[in-house]
Amino acid sequence: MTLLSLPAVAEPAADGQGRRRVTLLSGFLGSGKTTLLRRELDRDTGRPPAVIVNDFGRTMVDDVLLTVDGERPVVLSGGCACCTRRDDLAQALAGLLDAEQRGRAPRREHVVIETSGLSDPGPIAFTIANDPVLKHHYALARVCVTVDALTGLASLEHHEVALRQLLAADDVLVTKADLVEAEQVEKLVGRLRELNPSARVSVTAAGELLRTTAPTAGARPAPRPVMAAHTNGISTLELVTDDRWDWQAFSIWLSLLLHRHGQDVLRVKGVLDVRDVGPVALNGVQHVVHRPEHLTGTVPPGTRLVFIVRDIDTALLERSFHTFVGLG
Amino acid sequence: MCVLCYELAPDDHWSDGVSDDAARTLPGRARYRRTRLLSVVLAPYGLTVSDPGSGPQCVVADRKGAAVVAAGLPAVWRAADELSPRRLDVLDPTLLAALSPDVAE
Repeated sequence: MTLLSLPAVAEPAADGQGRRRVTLLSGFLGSGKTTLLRRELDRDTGRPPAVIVNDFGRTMVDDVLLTVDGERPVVLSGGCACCTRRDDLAQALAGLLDAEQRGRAPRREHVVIETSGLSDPGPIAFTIANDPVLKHHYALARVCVTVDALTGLASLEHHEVALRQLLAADDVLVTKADLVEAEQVEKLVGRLRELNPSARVSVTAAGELLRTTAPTAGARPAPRPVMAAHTNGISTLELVTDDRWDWQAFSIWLSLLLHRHGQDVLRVKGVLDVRDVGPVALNGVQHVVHRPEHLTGTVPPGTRLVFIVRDIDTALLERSFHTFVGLG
Repeated sequence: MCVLCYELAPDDHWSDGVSDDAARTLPGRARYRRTRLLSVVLAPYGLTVSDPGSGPQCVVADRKGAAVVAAGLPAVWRAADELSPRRLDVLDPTLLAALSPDVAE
């Protein structure tokens, strides 16, 4: 069994009633869901799962990275699968069944749904369990929630939806543990166990398991506070161009943006077509940007960059971006 | 820290994580371009940026001669905040107008 409870070849995948198992992979923006899923898909269990990816932005940037056996994942973009794209999620799951029954795709015993960073897992789990068709074919196996060791505590404190995700978890996966001191990881794990003592907490780094703490038997989660709508003040900016960008101009712009507004830039990710360099994957959350990754596989030309921001005028942000990149 | 000059090495920054083929044959090119672009961006705040040519640092200075040595982009922004009475902001319409005067507000 892997970090996301994907079955190995020798293990039975479907539940006792022959239903396909569903793992819900949730976690706040930038907490490492896609990185973890990529590592899991790279591990050859002999039974690759079907993958459904949900993104808050309309422009999908992770589908290229999550290809299984040459098949791209099913993409639900432009909203959260817990609310605006909930019907689409049900249709996507039904579409997998349809493709299988028509012989267009092999039977997948396991489905991984990667939710958007702003999704509440509760309504998604409800859809799978109560849809009149889906409930006979799918069974929710685990809710796995990633928590960033760098920014996880702050996200839990400031973003209600991060707390909702944590409280829904069967498995909590602390990511990026190699980027902080051991004491900080201990403090985070302690806080996670206080908030959700029924979850198993695993500490990971670069998609590899470091250690696991079992849930506290019989413990009950902390009372849930009353929460406001989870997307207040949050908007997205999607930059899609065929142009090649100058890296120096872009990096100066982004670093100055994060210097001044890092707390309100909840997420930045994308694939950039950099002049004289080629495709580069960029991934950041708040003022933490990970080292860019040079992509060597087949990547569609052009640049796709998505920003999820809070209380920032996206028209001004776009104007600022074009002004700076124009300097290159 | 450099054992010869006792200079503190800057933290590894994401902006230094992309290099092109030309950078390997002309290692100073990316550095020159960055210094030139920083000079353009900081000029509306009355600041200059110069490259001493050795080490990872550049020098951010104001028109009265005050100067701060900065290694890496985050240090450049902190230096600019220290030297400029105006708040440095990538979303500042005045800055954007200064950088692209041909574009109407």
